[in-house]
Amino acid sequence: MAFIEARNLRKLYGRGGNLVTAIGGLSFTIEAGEFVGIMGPSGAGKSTLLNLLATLDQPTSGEVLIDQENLTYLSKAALAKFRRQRLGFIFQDFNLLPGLTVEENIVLPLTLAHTPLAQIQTACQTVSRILGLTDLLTAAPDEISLGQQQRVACARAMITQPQLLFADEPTGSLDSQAATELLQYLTAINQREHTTILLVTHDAFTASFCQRIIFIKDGMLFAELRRQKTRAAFFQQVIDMQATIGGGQKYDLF
Amino acid sequence: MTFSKLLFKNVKQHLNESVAYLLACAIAIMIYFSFNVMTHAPHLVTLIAEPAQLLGVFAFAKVVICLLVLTFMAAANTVLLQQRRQELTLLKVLGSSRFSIASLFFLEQILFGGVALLLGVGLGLLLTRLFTLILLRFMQVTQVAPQFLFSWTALGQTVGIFCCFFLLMGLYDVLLIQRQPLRLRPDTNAADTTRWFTWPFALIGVVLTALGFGMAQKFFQTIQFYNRFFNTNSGLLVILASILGFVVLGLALIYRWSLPLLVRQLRRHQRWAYQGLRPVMLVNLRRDLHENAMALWVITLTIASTLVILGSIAMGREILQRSLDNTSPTAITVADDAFPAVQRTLKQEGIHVEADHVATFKLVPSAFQLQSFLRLHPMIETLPLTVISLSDYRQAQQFQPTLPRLQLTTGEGVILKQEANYFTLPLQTVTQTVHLKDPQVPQVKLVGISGQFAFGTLRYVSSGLVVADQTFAQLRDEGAVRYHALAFTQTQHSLTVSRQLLKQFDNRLIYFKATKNKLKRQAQRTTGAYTLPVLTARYPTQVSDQMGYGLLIYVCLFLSCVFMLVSGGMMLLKQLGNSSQLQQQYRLLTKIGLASVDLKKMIRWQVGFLFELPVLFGSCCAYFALHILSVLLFGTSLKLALFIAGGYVVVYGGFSHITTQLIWQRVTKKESRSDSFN
Repeated sequence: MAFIEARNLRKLYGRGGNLVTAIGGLSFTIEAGEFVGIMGPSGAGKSTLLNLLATLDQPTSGEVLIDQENLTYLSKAALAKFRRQRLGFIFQDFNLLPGLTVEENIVLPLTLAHTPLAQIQTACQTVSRILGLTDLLTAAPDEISLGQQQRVACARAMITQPQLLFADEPTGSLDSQAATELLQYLTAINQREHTTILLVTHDAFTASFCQRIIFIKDGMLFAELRRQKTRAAFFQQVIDMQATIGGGQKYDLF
Repeated sequence: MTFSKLLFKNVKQHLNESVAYLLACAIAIMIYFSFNVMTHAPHLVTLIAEPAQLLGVFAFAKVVICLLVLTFMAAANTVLLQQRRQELTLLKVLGSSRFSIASLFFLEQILFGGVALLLGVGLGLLLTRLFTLILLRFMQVTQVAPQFLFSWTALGQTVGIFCCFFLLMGLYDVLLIQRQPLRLRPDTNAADTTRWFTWPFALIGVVLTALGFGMAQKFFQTIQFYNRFFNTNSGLLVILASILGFVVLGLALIYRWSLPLLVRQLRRHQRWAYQGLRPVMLVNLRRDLHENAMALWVITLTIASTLVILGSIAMGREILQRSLDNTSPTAITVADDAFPAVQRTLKQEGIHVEADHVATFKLVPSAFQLQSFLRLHPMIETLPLTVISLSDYRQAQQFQPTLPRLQLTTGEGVILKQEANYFTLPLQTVTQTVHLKDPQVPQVKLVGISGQFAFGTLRYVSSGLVVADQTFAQLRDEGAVRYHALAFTQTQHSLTVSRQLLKQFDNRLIYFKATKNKLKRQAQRTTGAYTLPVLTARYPTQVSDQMGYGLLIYVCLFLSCVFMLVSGGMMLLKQLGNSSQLQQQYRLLTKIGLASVDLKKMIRWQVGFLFELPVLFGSCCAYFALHILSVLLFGTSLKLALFIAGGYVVVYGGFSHITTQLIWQRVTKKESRSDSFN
């Protein structure tokens, strides 16, 4: 049974004769425990799609169902509660709060949910051990490296043990080593915790860690790739598809 | 885009954040103009017995307004420019010359100034009638009808002065722009670090403030202790200066070190801090305290000063009223000799005398010692005492209900002394004998001291003495004088008659010649003679005092309004300056599941804390300062000062609410398309 279901999603911006279609009728499903990537050229509507799925934005028409719950008609407060309890977010620029320590940043979703202290401490220890942050808990975000900052963001997203993790260009600000480490962590989380991960990226290397990639162009579903063989082979497939989307010559011939 | 279009676009864009600045300036201009126009209204000036008093008070108030407004404008412009630093840098990066940017900001300033001036003067003109009405009510003047006031001179002066101020501010902006460093990203939070001196400074701040407040609360005892310990009489000044220094320095340390440290310690206490938005709120609070420590300190001190000034004026009024009751408790008090003439005049004028109390006063040479709490050594008084019998004293209680009840037996007495408050504490140490130079009554046993005089202080040469009737009868009669205290209702007519009588008996005195052992009445003044007035009237003095104090309270209330607006506006601007960081927090926190209502609650709490904290500390300071004043000024009440402190809480609460709304508007401002995940 589908864990995420997008039904004919449309998102328009502007008004009158100045309407811009960001998403033009997308429908797809994602199974529970899948690691899915969303790729497409700039302006394809990747981030808009992620915002709609993550309930941060309302679609102009269409519906989003997560775990068979229709989120389109929920109130703002109910959506906030849903995000707090069921979703995790990783952002390109980490979005850590600068005045808070690493530990305070990690436990923020739990404090917002008024979780008891003992539970917060246990969850923080677990997640920081998994992500190798145990020695950095008292540091300020600007005292640690970018890779470590992204791991903190990851820990913050994971601390509530969400069923669904959204990541928007999570490796965009990282060097290759830090990016690889983060993606390995995400893969481990996906396999160990069976967390459904939805990742938006431009980068073929990052996308090659996914099990399935949805390609969109101009707000429409363009293609879908499923990893069947090795990661290297999948990487090559992604590169080819990117060339197709970017130039379009190869597939336009047919 | 042309220069003028850019100018108007900028003004429109920044109108929201500048509205507090604009309104505070406009209201200050309005009050300045209303004061100015009143000093140019002859019918108001001539109301006061001494017109120079009115002109002087208004001139002082205008200077204070000018200083307040100038300080506010400079501080507000600095904050507003800091908020627009990115815009400035962008203009520079895009190739605008410093001159063109400076011209843009200069003209913006002039445009804002013009609007504030128009608004202020316009409101001033519209509301002059209301302001006059308030002034007349405060002065308890009913014979003059409030009316619209206008004066070209006042208008010219107001416009001229404030035009100069706005031009000055334009130049100040230009200077700030020239010195502005290039910066495209907003400042990040200051590091939350403690240094070796953080703890000592934080503790010293708390200890100094607590010590200052403690010394103020136990003012008498502290001075006594100091005087005894150092064997000196200078305790009063030293302790006053110490309290002031301790509190001023202590508060500065509290704002700069103690409160941030407290916040830091709260953050460490995870059981408390890991709840809801508290981690974020504590970080924001620490940043706000760090950035605004100096401003909060200045505002606290100014709130305290305003409350103390207003409180002491209210006290002054109360003291004046008490002093009036103590000086002339009835409508007319007249010596026996002049009584027939006064009675005739009152009858002719149709004034019904409701009561006529007669009392005899005897002047007796004396010597006694009193121990003051302020001095180590006893105070020796050798002036003649005016003695009154207990039955006359009790008669006076009918029209002076506040006179304390006395129980005296033969040979006992109670001293009546203006500064009785200073002698109340060490009563047991008082040398309890009054030596009288009278053969029948050589001494009286002192059983108490009172600050309230039966029949009014003017009936006494210096201090008074109440004795039992038997003792009074034994005293010699040479230095005796009988007074009639006449009571009648105050009307406009009785006021005029009282003034006439006062004029008629102006400077007429009763003389007493002092010889070696006694005092004797005589017809003419001689060297060393003691005097008592023939006639005193209550109402003319009362009306004049009411007018003077009404004027003072009116001016001080309006000045405190200007101060509330200026300081509130300043805090509002500073808070708005931090809204970009709150906006970032809002975007992140909503993504990770924070309900908007919780964030708004946090903003309200943060803003409210920063607004009410100076009011709390300022009110504490004012309470203790007024406590000292009330101790020194014979136990007057703190009601008005507390009422005004309540006013501050309400006005700052209003500012806090407006600031929360403005910040909330900014924070929740619609993000640009697809911005949510970026």
